[in-house]
Amino acid sequence: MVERRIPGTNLAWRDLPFWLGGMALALAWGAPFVWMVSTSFKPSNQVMTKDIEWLPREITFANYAKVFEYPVLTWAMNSVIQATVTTALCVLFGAMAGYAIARLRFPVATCCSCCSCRRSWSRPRSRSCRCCWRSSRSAGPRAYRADPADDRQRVLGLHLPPVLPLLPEGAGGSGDRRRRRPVPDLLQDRAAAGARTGDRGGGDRVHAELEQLPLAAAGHL
Amino acid sequence: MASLAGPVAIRIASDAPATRPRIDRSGYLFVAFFTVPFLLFNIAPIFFGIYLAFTEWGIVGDPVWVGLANFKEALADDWVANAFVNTLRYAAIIVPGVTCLGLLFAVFVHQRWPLATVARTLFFTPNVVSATVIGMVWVWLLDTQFGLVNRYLAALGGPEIPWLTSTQWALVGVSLASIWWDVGLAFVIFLAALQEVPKDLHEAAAIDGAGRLRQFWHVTLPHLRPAISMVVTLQLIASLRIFSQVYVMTNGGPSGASESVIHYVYQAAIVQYRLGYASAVSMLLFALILGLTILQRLVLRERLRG
Repeated sequence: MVERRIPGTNLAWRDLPFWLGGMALALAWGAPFVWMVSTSFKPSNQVMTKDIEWLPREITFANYAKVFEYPVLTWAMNSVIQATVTTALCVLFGAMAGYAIARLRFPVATCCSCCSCRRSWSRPRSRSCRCCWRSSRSAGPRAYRADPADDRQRVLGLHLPPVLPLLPEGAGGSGDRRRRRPVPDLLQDRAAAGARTGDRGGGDRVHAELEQLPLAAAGHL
Repeated sequence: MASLAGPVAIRIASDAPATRPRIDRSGYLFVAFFTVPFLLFNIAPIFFGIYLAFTEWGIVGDPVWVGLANFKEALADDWVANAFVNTLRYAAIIVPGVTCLGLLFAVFVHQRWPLATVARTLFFTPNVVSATVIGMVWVWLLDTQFGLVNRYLAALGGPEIPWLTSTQWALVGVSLASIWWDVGLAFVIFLAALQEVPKDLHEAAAIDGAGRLRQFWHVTLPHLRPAISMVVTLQLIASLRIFSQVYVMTNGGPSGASESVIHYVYQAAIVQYRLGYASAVSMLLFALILGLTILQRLVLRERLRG
């Protein structure tokens, strides 16, 4: 059965009541915010009135002028500095620690990777982890797992780091948290070897191979 | 032809030599930049708090070891019991409210009907405002005489409710403001999860004659279980730690009717300078949050397996 749609929209006539209800709900949800903005332009004696006044009877900027009687700019600058420094340091130090645990081989990483791979947060076999590395030798060549859906989840930014053991299943944005797409160690090793031998094209080739891997996994290549 | 839906394995021939891997000592330096501040500013205060829970300390002077006295006092204190009961009530109102409304809003916006972008903005906007501002605005909105909520209730023939001034309604009033504030995050998580639901399943269900409600119940909702689990867990933890709204809107009153545990801890530590006692109450709250989170996760895990 073909649904009759409202011309110029993707809304079917039978969905009109739902759309109206939803938009009313959205407006009601935004109403306190509108009220807050509207009140900021009202004189103080018109804030609490007997009748509901969504728009100010007379617009005043006195409230905003009063704000600047205080060192608001200093407070704002403090917030900006604090937010910028916190974000920058979190990203920098977090990336450094993440890189070391995922890629470098040292005893602390062994611990972390063991926990990760046992819980299937990380790649199935980690070369940075000695016990995994040993078991991977007996298990044969490493497998690269790829799933097109995984890329979508990553774009949505829902993959949380595996540092919160109490987070529920699917905290990474999907019910199956085993579907991670790590960068294969082999490619990184080749890029590093290329850098040692002065082969500057190595990085590009590795990048190209990485780009092709999801396609290969999906059977397109 | 290979399937596009499931995970596919490609075997990559490993040419790595079968020798013991060398140790990269630079790894310690990389990790130290994160670990040292984390230990100093996150982990050390936790252990200091645990230590303080067994002492009596008023900031000035040295802590005096009192053993389990703080815990005994806290467990016998009616105000602590009241704060814990209120906190559980907050969780009982806020968690289902945020989860259901977030899901409802996400499903609406996901239809991509006209003005969906406007609706998306309106649903998410409260989440970007600070809790203090939310509290101030909702004190106006819930004012018994002049508040917008009571005005519209009166227009619909409803009674005049003393939202923030009666022991019966104060907790509900604070919960309303919290739901309005928190829904934005749940909405975004559900919206992202909805985009993961394969369309072909809906098409197959529609061909089989399933109506919209059945499609939602049997196709959409099972795919949203991980997101629901995540929202419930995060919201449960946030609700059990509720403070700013209580502090701004009611200051725990009237007569402790809207008192939360964290607000009580603040009163004990900062107003009364009883840091040891406040730490003991914090430990009890930590145990409650840990217990509830593990329980919730076990229950949801069983359901996911089922």
